[in-house]
Amino acid sequence: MPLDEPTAPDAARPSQSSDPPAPAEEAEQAEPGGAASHAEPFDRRRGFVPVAGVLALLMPGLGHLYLGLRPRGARIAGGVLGLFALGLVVGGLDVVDADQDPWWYAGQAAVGPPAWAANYAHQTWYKYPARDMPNGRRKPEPGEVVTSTGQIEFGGDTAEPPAMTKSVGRVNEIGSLACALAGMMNLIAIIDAAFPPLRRRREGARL
Amino acid sequence: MIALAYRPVLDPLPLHGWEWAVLPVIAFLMAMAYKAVRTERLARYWRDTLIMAAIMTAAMAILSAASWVVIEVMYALRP
Repeated sequence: MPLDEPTAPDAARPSQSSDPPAPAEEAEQAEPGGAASHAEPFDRRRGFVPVAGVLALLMPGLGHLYLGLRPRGARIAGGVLGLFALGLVVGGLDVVDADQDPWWYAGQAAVGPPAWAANYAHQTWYKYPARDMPNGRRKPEPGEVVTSTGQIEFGGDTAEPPAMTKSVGRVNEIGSLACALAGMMNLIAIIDAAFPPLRRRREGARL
Repeated sequence: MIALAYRPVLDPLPLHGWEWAVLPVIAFLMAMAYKAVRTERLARYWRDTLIMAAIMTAAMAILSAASWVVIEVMYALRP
């Protein structure tokens, strides 16, 4: 539904050949920023499709797929999920940590279920109670072991390495950055899916 | 301590000293997602994506060089 058009039902259905061409369609006959766009103002009207916004949050690119913009949706999914996967590979699962890095996670959470699942796995499967954290959980450091009672204890130099290695330094920074950028990019995609430009009808968008 | 082989995702990538090599990849993936939203003509999508990634990478390199000059050269030349 267009935000700034009083004739909402007309904009909600797909444009038909009998309809007079919208100003956006005429303007886009020429390249934006080109000579013809100086004669015709660039159409900035946007619709409102909340379902597409929710779908975009549930899986990167799904909102644009729902709108009928398959190439855009596939490229958004590739970029966002690629960034998130790259961050996890570079920094390890340690870079998604809502408990110890809440500000990083605030950005990463916009990726949707992949980030939520990574954080859940991190908090649930790889953190344990420790003596130095009476009210919290943490990962075992090198040289520490998890006892049969689920408590972190010092195990000496011969202890098995922890199930997950804590990343430090620039590797951790780069990994956190890539995952947070994935969330920020998906936030842009979520907003674009929820408020799609009406000029995308030319690409076959169901608006 | 017993050393294990690299376990993807569970262990950080052993990139110490080479972290900067990941930045162009990050720039490309960022541009890929951003241009999928912002570009008007999909026919020019990959060209726009490569240009944006190149600009971001070049800007990071220039800023790094400028920071190096400030820290290593100008600081050394201080009165």
